[in-house]
Amino acid sequence: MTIFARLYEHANFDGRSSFHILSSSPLRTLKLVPKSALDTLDMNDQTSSLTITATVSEKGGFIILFQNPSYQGRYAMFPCTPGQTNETSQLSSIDFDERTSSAMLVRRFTNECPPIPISNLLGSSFKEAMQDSLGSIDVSIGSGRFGTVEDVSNLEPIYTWDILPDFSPSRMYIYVRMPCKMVLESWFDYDFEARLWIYLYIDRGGILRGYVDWYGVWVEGGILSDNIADALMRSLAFTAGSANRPISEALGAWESISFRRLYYLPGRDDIGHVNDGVRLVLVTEL
Amino acid sequence: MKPNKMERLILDPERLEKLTRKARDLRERLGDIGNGSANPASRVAPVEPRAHETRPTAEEVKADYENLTVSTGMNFAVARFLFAERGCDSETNLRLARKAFFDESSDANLLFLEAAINQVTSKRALDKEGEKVVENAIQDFISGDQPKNAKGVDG
Repeated sequence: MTIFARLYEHANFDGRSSFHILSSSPLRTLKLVPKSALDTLDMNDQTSSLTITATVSEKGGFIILFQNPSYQGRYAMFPCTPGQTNETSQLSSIDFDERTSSAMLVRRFTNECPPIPISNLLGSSFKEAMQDSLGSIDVSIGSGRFGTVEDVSNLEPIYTWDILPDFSPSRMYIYVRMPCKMVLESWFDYDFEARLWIYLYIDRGGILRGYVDWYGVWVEGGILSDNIADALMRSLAFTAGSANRPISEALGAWESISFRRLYYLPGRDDIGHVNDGVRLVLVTEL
Repeated sequence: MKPNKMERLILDPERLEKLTRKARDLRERLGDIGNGSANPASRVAPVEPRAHETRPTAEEVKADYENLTVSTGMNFAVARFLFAERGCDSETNLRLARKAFFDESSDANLLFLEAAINQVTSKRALDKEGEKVVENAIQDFISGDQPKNAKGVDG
């Protein structure tokens, strides 16, 4: 039981190649191929065709190519068929020629649920909790109140992923970015993003659980960037956890089902950008 | 503040004076404000759990992490170093890596096998004989790659 992929330097399976295996002993769901691996094999931005093979006892799977390191940017998914080798002779046909800087092999399971877009899973109550929490932020710099967050009623969170980030290198996260504007009194406005890292896991009893594990901000460059970032972090330290209630409520709908494992797929379709969304795949106990 | 607003502000002496006062106030409050780097700022911090909120146990996090495996550049570099230390040719390294994987199908031995195959394939385009060596290694690997958990892809 094995899935393996070969990435070729040239079109039509020609030239040098790199070889990546997702074995079943021990059984894994994902095989990550970071940029450092492609660099060492001198294959970064060098893939022009590929093959993916699955043995007959597999259910199926994918190799996913990413344009940027750390499984970010544009992506393209290539499925495998049990007992066959699937070939893609020209990555230029999808504008992915010599653009791969990281990759991922994914194993599918017979008892997995259809992928669920995270935006659907978390629903409007999560978005509303975030709007409430961001809308109530006042920024004080020095001794006085200085600015507020611009109206967030039209806030559209960006749901994506962050895989093994430096600050938490053993976890895969749902990464929620919320672009906002800080309106400062008699001063220049600053764009910023409030950011949440949501960790989902299967507990010992097979129940799907999740919570906001990390929070953060990004503030556009300016002489007040550091001051605004510090002030936002002070506010978010109290409000970031308020997202846990809607997360628990959303996951509560699944409590009657016992799961064995979970994994994520990027975006909404077989080709897209990781910022298009992220999909959760739950594998049930038989 | 958008450019058109800024332009209007510059042309309005009263508002410009107000802005100057604000700048003076900021400087008093923040000290050497003009020394800011003007680079974007980013911050990250852990969320402290509230009362009654559950967090995963170390075992649950480990089980989640064991869902995945990573072949880093360091893995390939270390394998390449060890192969060089052996002083064997690529085919011998491949044969030894296959044997090690059959003896113990661990992640570490899988990475060695993967590195041994890549040592052959990533250096140059293969001729028919080279392809056959790699194909045999892959077939041997597949026949030995059986899940320890009888459930396999059933979870």
